[in-house]
Amino acid sequence: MTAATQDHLVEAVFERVEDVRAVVEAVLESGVAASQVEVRSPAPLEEDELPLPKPKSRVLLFALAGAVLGGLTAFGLAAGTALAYPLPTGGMSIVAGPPVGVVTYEGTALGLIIMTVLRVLWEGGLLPGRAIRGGRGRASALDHHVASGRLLLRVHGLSEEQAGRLRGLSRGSAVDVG
Amino acid sequence: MTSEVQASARALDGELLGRLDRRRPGLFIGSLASGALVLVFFYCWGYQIANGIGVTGINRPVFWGFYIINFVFWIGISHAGTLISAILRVTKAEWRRPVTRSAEAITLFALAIGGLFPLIHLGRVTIFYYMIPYPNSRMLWPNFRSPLVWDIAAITTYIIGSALYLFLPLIPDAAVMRDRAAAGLKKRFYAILALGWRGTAQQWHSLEWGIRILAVAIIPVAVSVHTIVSWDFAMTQTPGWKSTIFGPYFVVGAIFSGIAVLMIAMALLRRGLALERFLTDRVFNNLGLLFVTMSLVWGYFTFAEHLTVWYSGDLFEKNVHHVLLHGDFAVPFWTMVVVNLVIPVAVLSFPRGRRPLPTALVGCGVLVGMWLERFLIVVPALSTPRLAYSIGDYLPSWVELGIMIGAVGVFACLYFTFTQLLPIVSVWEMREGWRHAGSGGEGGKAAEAVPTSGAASPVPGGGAA
Amino acid sequence: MTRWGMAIDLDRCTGCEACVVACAAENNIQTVGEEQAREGRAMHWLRIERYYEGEFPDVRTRFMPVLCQQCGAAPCEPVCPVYATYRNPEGLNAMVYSRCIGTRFCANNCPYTVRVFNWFDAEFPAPLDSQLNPDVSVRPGGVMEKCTFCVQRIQAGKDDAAQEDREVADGEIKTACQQSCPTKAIAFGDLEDPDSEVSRWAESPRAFSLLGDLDTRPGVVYLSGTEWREPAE
Repeated sequence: MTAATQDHLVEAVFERVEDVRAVVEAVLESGVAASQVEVRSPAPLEEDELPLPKPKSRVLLFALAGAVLGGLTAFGLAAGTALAYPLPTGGMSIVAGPPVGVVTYEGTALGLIIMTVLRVLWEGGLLPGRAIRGGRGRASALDHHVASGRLLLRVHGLSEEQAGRLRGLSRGSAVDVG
Repeated sequence: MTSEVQASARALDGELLGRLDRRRPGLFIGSLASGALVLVFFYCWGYQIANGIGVTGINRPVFWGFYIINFVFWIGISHAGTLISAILRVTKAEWRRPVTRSAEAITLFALAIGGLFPLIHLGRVTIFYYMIPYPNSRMLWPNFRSPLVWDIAAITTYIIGSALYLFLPLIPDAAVMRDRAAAGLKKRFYAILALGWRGTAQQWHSLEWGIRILAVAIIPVAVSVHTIVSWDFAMTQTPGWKSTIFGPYFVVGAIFSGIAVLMIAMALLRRGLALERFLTDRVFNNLGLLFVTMSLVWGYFTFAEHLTVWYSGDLFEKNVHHVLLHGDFAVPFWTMVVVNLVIPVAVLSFPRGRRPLPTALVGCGVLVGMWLERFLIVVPALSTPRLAYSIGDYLPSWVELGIMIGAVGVFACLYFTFTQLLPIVSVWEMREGWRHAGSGGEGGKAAEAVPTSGAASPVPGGGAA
Repeated sequence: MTRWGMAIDLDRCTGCEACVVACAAENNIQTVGEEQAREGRAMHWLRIERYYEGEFPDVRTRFMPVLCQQCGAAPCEPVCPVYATYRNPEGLNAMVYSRCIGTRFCANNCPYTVRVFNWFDAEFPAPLDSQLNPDVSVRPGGVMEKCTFCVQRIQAGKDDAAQEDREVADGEIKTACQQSCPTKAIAFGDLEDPDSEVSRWAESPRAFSLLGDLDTRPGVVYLSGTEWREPAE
């Protein structure tokens, strides 16, 4: 590994969000892109607590798509199968509206729920075989701090000089630096 | 965030993790004892499969007995968790935070057991899959007009939905357990559950969206499940069953019995795991208010149902009504009214009655009462058919009793095991609450989440708001 | 089209129960024994209901043979999740034993309580097994069953007629209960054929349907000269 490569990773553990905020602000000012900064927290942070771009989520869109998909499948099962094998019903309708409605209702909910969860897992890189790019989401030796309620700042793709500067910057307020 | 509040939150954090880490011998003994009942459950079921459904006490005309009663009972209990937790989440009630996990776990396990009872009940359980829509050689599909097939659709949706609704908020906590565990089998187990959760901003953002959507989606599912269970009865022509009120009546009864189990479970957890500072008196007070409300609504529905039947003077309906209120079933009927309405209202109307011990005791009574309610729905209507020549009666056999008691053991075993393995109080949601309280942004509402104003003062169950 | 139907003249019925025995013999109905019968598990497809009127010593007994009414709008059919009971094109409520999984929902929704359930596997210890009717299957345990209007006899009658290239004549097909009735209180035939015996009986001013106001449109018609009070209590 040569000094010229931009693959240094600096990790720092903080007790307070305010301290993370100060360090992140300084890092961004020094020319590091926001996409290189990753903050791991023990609980969700408010949107404006850190000067980082807001993450985007399409869970709702996928949930609605799942609802449509599930509803159509259930409708097809309830109505289509009765038509595919029309048994004599003695004057009763072969495809009855209310029962098809009940089954479609349940199918809609099931499709929505499953797609919601799948999309949440996909976006978070939690499905097998889907890692988030740039080493995000990898295990860190400092993860146990997050488990204990602290915040972990990770800045990826730094040059050696940048990394050194960041380490120095963090030392003041960080609990642990790696 | 003031440093005082922050220090308080950190101390609470440490205390909560400490409580959850500690392994209690009581839990282990509980698992073993309930494990013995699991054996009873499977022995009885196996005996029934080997010898035929005739080993039960059911007969003509009482074709449905304890299994269907217990089916409705357990599905009712399952409404504790998902529904209550979802309503509390959607309304952003801060006091939900310590409650949701234990409630959602009740749902999943009660539902798993409730879902088994219709299978136990089948005459030929070995071909139960005829009810599932799958392409078979003759392309003959299930009859979607049957309420039983609606049941399958609803319960499948509900069980998958509530499993995922329990699992999604559990992922960050599984990661906590993973990162705190020493390398080994335990760490591997939590690592699988955590799916590689690291707590990045994107993960939290997606997760919050997911929980928000599931909480909204699961409410209509829960309502539909118990409505459809009621339609197993209400769709028939059977006197005593054919009633338009059954849908909402069953939903209310389900929530009512669900809260009863939740009250008992929380009182036990609070004592057994010494969680007084998290499951505060305030939580019990609020749930107690919800509890007494459901009791009153239940009483109103019961009155409305019986009044309309009595006033109508319909011959066949009146026969069923008569055995219920004055006949063979009068004792269980009036017992039910006392434990479901009189006692809860008498106790829970007063703030002193809404403390852990009285609410748990009232909860035990309500469980008995709600079981009796299902018994009184299933049996009297069937034993009093239209043609008086076929009037019959019903007594359960030892097999039915064994399976009923065994099912309680299965539930307890699952619940004890869950409590041992995973945080029964959601760690990250508590942390989020403390953060809100610390930032002060949410005002007085958020302050509810911090049980005591100073970390050092160990006020037991102090609900300072 | 054919709509198989039955008419039962209650004024002729003596309550001798020959029909009950004939039905059991014809249809391989399980004999469950005293103990099970006491538990309410007797399997008769056809039962004679007895009702007493008046005060002792001035008591009058009424008999009413009750069997599956082969409803035109049968409450048992839509509730079966697996189509084990369905309405066949000739108006019978057919049972497909091999599809039945034993939910017993149909029996609960039958206003006449005529469905019976095999609580255990049927046993026909020798030599009883040699008297089984080869045209009727022996049902396994866990399966619902009920009167079929002797569908095997209907099938045999139609086969005979087809062999001779003719229509089935009225009265040619007899159910076991009808055949064994000493007072000829039962008529069986096609309700769609206005000249058949059963249709003529059904036109009688004495005719009524059991629990008729439920509008299940039964295929069984009862005849009674005195007003038949629907049994209460």
